Amino acid sequence: MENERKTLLEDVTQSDLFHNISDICAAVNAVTCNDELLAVSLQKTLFLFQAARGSIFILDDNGKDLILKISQGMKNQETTNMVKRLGEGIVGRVAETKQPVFVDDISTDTRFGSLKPRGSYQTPSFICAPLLIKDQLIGVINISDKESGLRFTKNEMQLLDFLSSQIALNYRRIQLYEKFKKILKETQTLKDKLGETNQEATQLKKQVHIQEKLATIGKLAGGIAHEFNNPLDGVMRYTNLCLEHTKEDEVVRGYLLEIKHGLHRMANIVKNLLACSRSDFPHSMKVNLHAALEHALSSKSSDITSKNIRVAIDVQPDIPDINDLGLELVITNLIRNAIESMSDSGELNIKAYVEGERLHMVVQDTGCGIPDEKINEIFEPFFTTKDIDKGCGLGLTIVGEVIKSYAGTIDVESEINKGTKFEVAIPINA
Amino acid sequence: MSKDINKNDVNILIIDDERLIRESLYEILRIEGYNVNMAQSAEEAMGLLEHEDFDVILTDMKLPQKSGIELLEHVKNEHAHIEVILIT
Repeated sequence: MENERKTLLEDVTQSDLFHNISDICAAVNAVTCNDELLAVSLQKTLFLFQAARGSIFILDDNGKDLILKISQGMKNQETTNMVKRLGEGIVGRVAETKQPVFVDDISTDTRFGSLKPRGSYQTPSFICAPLLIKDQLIGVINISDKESGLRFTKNEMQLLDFLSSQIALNYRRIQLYEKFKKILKETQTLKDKLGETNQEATQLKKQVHIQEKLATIGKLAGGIAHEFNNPLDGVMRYTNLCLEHTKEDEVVRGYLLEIKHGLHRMANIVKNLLACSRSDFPHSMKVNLHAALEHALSSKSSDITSKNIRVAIDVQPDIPDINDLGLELVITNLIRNAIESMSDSGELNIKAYVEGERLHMVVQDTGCGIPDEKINEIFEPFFTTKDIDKGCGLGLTIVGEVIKSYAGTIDVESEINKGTKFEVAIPINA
Repeated sequence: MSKDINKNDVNILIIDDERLIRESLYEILRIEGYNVNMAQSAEEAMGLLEHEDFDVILTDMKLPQKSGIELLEHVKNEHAHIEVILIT
């Protein structure tokens, strides 16, 4: 009986066999994706052995489960991702022992006892081989159901064992290749991030440098302003003295009035520069928003009347007093700017309320607005849109500095000829 | 000070290290008719106070060595009748 069996190794010429094996090796060496590798391996192996049915299980990362990755010719529609525990069934046993199993006839084989497969096989003979790289288990391959109806031989088991090692090696090769690709990608991402971080760091360094420079200039300006104050005071007094000693119709009186006007402007700049560089607001002092608002509005009452400006005030009545870090300067400057932006008639809306731990204040006018291209410059020192003798360009710089010292925020929205809205938010307990 | 006072009898001492302020104040008060004297520092003022009597002292607060406040203390201890006006 044994001799009548037609087996693969006897059926084909040696050169055909060699050709078939090298064809499988070439095919599995060429693929770059493991799903494809398993599909190609199984299909070519089944073709070589003239077998109708086969499957490949792969050992899970946990090292305990064998997962069915691919099958061919299964009647029961055994789906992929079927799981066998290590040691469970013949596949599990082969994985555990790392030894191939060749079954000549399952019905007479005594090795498996209860492990015998439930009988959907057309032939009682099959081979099950571990996919190994040296001692390391990758998975298990099964083939059964020879198309000829004959049984497998021991030689065929050795051949499958050889092919298994090829499949296992390639499986690992692709795994490593994918890992390498992943690392390469991660490296590139890290490199990109590093580049971004570097760029950010450079930008930040630049900003710090500018801030430091501005702080130095601010200190210098403050110092100069302080030094200017005293002689300016004296010169102003002498000018007033001179004015008292001139008669109404004297030409020199006109000149002196011009000097006085100029001195007032200088005094104003000095006062504002001092306010900009001032960081010595005593923390114990409190400022009342209602009082500050009233003060700011009353100092501009003549302009409000002469320009026919409607003032609408919506201020929450119980706003607590705030530490005096210059809030009145903020209010005064925002209100002054709003009024000066309106030439004839208009509306000034002032809103203030407490929300959470922050005081919110909105000052909105219907004035000339700020051009888009200028909006980023408005907090810069000496930036002004006003006539030379109306503003020195320090008002909003002061506002910005004060808001900074409160650790607050200021937002501005503006539209040409429609108006401007400033929104300030500062912590109540600043 | 009531109106019938003779300004010429009122002795004022001005102390400021800034010449323009010191002298402009001096001029204003002199023209007003007061009897005015000047010093550049608290130390100089204390020296003057030893042999001259003043009714009013106008002093800057920030002075080169002793401050206006220290001068105020000295005056209140030694010459309590003098009125002191601090300028800042």
